[in-house]
Amino acid sequence: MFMTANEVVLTIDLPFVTAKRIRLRYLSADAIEIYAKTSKKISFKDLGIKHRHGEFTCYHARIRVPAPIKRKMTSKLKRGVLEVHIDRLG
Amino acid sequence: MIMSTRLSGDDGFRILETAEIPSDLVLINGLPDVGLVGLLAASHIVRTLKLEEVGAIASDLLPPMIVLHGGVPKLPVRIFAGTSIAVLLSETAIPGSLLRRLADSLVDWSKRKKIQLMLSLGGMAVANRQDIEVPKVFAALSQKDLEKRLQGAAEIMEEGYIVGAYGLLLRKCAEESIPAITLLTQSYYNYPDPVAAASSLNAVNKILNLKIDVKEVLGKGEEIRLRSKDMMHRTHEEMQRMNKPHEYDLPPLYG
Repeated sequence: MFMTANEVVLTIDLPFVTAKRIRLRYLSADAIEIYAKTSKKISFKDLGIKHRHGEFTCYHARIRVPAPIKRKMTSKLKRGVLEVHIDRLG
Repeated sequence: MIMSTRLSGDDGFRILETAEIPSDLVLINGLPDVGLVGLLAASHIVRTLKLEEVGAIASDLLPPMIVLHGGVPKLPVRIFAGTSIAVLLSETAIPGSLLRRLADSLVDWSKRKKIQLMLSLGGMAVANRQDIEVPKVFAALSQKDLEKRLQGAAEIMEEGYIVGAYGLLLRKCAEESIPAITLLTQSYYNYPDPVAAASSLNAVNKILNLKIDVKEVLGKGEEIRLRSKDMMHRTHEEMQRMNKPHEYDLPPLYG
């Protein structure tokens, strides 16, 4: 995450996610929420791990940003990494 | 059980040789670093060339841990070798405070083993990584005359900082007259970067005249990124502690 004079820019690595399955939500002047569905169900077993169980189909995070932000944000998913640009307040 | 036939190193790090390691090898280092480029590339070399596990690095200074592979306990920093190539890789992030001693022990061992070339693989964080399709590889050399060994595989890094194990290894190799090349590939800073690892492998292929296929690294990119997330997280913490972002800076001297 870094800031420019007008924006807060954050990047998130999202393996097995396509752009259509990402939802970004403004929560408050200092936080956003990201919800991204994976293109397939991922289990520890698939990764060759036997001692941990479970599977997941999405990434979900609430992210606090270091400067007050507006509601307006844009994003692009490129090479599996999501880049979010959020306008700064004031 | 880890059997050691030979021990060397007296600086807090012991290099255990569990099988005969021939002299005059090329030693490839794949330590966790920016984008895990070196670790991903080195693991691929071990797998593709079917290198045998021949040793490990032990130290009471390292975190008390082992890693299980095939149900067998292993030390996290291990050496693999074939007839002409050895690979050192670490499955744990090595604390910055230990890197100087690790570098000294490794270079001393390399000197005794008459290592013909030390080739360290790492990443170079770039802000616009998302816009780069084929990451570029840069090389830092222990001595100028190594440039011809690159065979155009990488662009020489003339100025800049290298923070961490690879900087220390390069300096120590220069002092000890061991030929050493550090390959730094453009990559994400704190996301595992298999595409950068593939670029690094292509450079290794050129320099060592190998034909390591990188299709698997590219094809399994998403799985590799997912599997490596935890390791990247640990490595990121260590990189921040050792002030790795210093590498972004420009050296102030000119002329």
